[in-house]
Amino acid sequence: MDLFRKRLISGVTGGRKATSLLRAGLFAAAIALPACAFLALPSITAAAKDAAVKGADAPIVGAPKRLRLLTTQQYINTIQYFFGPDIKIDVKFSPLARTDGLLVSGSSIAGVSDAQIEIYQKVANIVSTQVLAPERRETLIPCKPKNDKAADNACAAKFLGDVSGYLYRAPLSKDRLANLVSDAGKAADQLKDFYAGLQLTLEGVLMSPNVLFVAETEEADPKRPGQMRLDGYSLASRLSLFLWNAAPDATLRQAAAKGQLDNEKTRAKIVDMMLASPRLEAGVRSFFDDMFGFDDFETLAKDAMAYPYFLGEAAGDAREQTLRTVVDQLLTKNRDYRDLYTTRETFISPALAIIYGVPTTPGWRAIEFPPESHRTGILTQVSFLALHSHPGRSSATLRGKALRELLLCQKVPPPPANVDFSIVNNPNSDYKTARDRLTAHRANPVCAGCHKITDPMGLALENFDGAGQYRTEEKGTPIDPTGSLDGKDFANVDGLTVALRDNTSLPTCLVRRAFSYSTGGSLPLTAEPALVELNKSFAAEGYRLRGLLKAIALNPAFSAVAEPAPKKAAPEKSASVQPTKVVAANP
Amino acid sequence: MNKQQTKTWRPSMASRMVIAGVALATVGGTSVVRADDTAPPGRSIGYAFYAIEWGITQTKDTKEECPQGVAEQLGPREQYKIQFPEDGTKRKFVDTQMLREADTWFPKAEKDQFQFRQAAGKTAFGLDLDGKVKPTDFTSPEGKPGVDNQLFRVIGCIYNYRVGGSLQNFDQIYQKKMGINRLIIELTDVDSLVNDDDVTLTTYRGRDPLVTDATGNSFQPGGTQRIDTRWGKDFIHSSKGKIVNGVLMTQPMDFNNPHEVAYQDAAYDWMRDARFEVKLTPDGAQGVIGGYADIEAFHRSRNRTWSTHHLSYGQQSSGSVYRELLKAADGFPDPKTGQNTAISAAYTVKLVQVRILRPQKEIADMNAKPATKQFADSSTAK
Repeated sequence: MDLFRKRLISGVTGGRKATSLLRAGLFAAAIALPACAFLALPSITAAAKDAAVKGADAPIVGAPKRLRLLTTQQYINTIQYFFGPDIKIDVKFSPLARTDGLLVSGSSIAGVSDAQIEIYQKVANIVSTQVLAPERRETLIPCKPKNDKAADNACAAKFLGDVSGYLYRAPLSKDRLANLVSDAGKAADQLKDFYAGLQLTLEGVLMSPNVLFVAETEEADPKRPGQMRLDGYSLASRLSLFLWNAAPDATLRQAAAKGQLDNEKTRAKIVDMMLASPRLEAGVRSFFDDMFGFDDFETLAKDAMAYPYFLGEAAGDAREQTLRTVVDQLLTKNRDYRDLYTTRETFISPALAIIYGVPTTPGWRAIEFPPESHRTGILTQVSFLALHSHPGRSSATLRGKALRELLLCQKVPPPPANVDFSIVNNPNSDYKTARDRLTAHRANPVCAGCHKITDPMGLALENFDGAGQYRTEEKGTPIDPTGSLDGKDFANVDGLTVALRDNTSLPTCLVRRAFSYSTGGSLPLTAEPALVELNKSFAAEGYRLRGLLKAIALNPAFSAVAEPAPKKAAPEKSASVQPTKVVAANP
Repeated sequence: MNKQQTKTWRPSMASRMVIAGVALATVGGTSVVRADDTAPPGRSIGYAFYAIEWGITQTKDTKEECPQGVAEQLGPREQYKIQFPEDGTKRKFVDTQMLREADTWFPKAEKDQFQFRQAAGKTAFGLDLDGKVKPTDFTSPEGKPGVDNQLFRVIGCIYNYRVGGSLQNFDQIYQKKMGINRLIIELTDVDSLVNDDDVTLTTYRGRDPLVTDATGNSFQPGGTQRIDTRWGKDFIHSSKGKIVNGVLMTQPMDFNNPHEVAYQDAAYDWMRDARFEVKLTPDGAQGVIGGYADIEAFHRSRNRTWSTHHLSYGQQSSGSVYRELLKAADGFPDPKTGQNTAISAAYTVKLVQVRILRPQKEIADMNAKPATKQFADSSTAK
């Protein structure tokens, strides 16, 4: 039983004030779930809708304030934006636990092991050594010491003040800065090298919890008495990590210092500036890389005998292809988000050209697949097809599951522990095609429930093998690519992509993921009114990503701080929330 | 642009079986199966060479083709010892090493003072180039008589050219590795890869690396080769041909094989009246190219691209080989002297399917604007 169902049942049955009728009804609904019906994440409830239309009078409920760990890419971006892209950082921090569909949400529940601290120390040493290298001092150190073989407190204070303010994402206290300058001076005198003293101190700064952890702080919201909001610097960090995937720059920190982020008009100007920055691409790439589960590419392996055309570069290129497509469609061309799933425009590399069966030139090149290619949208790109397959064969089930979970924010329960996979796993099976094998597999009623909710759309992708190459046959037998998605039948993958594009859960899932991502953690149920508002504005603006990002960044719930969740759900809240929408499994 | 040109071509399993089955049938058999669904998109298909070596019959114990053994061949070091024995005589550099150097680069067509071991036997790779079955001809490994391959007689017992010889080894490594050696062919006007009585074959030099597959042991079909029309004009030749039961046979044409090894000077071998006889599949091709190797080009190519020590290790005396080539030459007589200037020869070749791009129009189109026409497979637009 997944966490959400547990919460659902405990919430419903634990409410002391809930009427017995309601309790009984909801509990019955919960336990009446088919064994393998998928669960939609919390849908828009009547209470949420009600709250959304009440406007400013209603309490603004955002996410709780977070304590979260910088991700690897946030750390790298932060360093390189400040010290320059030539600072080489080849590191991977410990993997985060994917939580509610996002890795970044795992950053707010992550701990730090001894091994991880060693990695932080090594990286800090590598970075500080490069920053203080003789060839970079001229550009990265804002002053010259009077004697480069001894301490120079004035010069050290200038450098450490700038750097630490940026890395801490907030101004340093005078005492803290004085301590750092003192440390640098002692080291310089002992080592008889001013720059070595700075390097050791910078290494220490880079390992500071203030740098590695983003600890949000709150303050009373003067516009909404009794409610709390993020303080300026915390809000600057949240904005910057959301849109740029890096620490806030000087402009953003200055705006925080002047209180400009608390003012709707000045905040809007700053958000516009951030959306116009080239750094937005890094932010958007990071978000979609997370939402699409592309961290799995790091462990993706294909059977070289089964797929000799899946070259060594193919996995990395497939990930890059989809991210390039996202940036091109949603940022450069400002297209409708839903069209990402039907567009034939994309980019290819030589390694991918072999899988797609087209000629190309060295490097990346923009292309448009012809209509008869069946390459429509990112579902038909190698990234989705290869990532959600087995090493040596395709998987209609994995693809269907990924479609529901990653793109529609639905939850497909895992298979029961005692399931018999022998029919689908037997390479010498008499069943020629995946459809044949899955049909036989579904003869087992234990299996049928789950597969009914994943396979009808996954089988429409069977024209693509486990490496993403188009095919019309499997073991000499023609492939039947017909399928259905939530009641819409189609003849092949072209129909699937259109059905997905028109599925109402597609944009609402993006809104949910983006808002959750922006706050750096899972959303409380109380954030539903904000989602209602964001869904509405997203639709009104034609499902444009830039508009959604701006709407999130300017939404009061983005900066509002939710009260800590009560240990036991209040009965009134439980009663007013319908936390799940149970969708009947496809027949 | 028609649909055929824009679709991604992967033959169906049934067509592959037809191609494979028919390709295995004897050339010249009675099958007249015409499988139009085997026609490549745009009626054209490209292949890149990944192995090309002089056709030499090699038995395990060498007794058939080199009854006296390969080790008996006299290379530069052995000849030097005979020519300048260590008998206490004082000799000058100019009279010894320089003399040998001059013979390597500017050999005289006079009787060789050293014994040379020619290859013997009855079997050799190659084609019947003159339509006659002569006493000096060979029989192909498949049993076809009248095979003209006198080059085999000259180089068949030289260790350098045999499996394990450094030339054979490095030639094959650098054929794959060095871009300058990238040789490609394009078949156009192809209505069927099984039977088509009128196709056109054109050779080019390509500009792109070969693509190794995920196993690292084979070459992956489907890579792209851009034609080198700027510096590769010497390699562009064309001929008509036909496909019979999956085997391509072409009419005589010039064939230049780029040749560079070990980062030394580049050269190429020139085969005149070259004819292809290769089995075709959608993924590759394999067979022989028979023709007359130009002797001067052969001699120059070996000297320019090979170091002295490799010639010595491989028991290959350049001057002696040159004189043997002239003796065994059987084609293209000099109009003035009557001396044949070329020698019948054969390459054994392996090729992998590639998609061909011409630089002028197609690439300009591709870079100008993404469009469906970009996906023309090995476009036939001339």
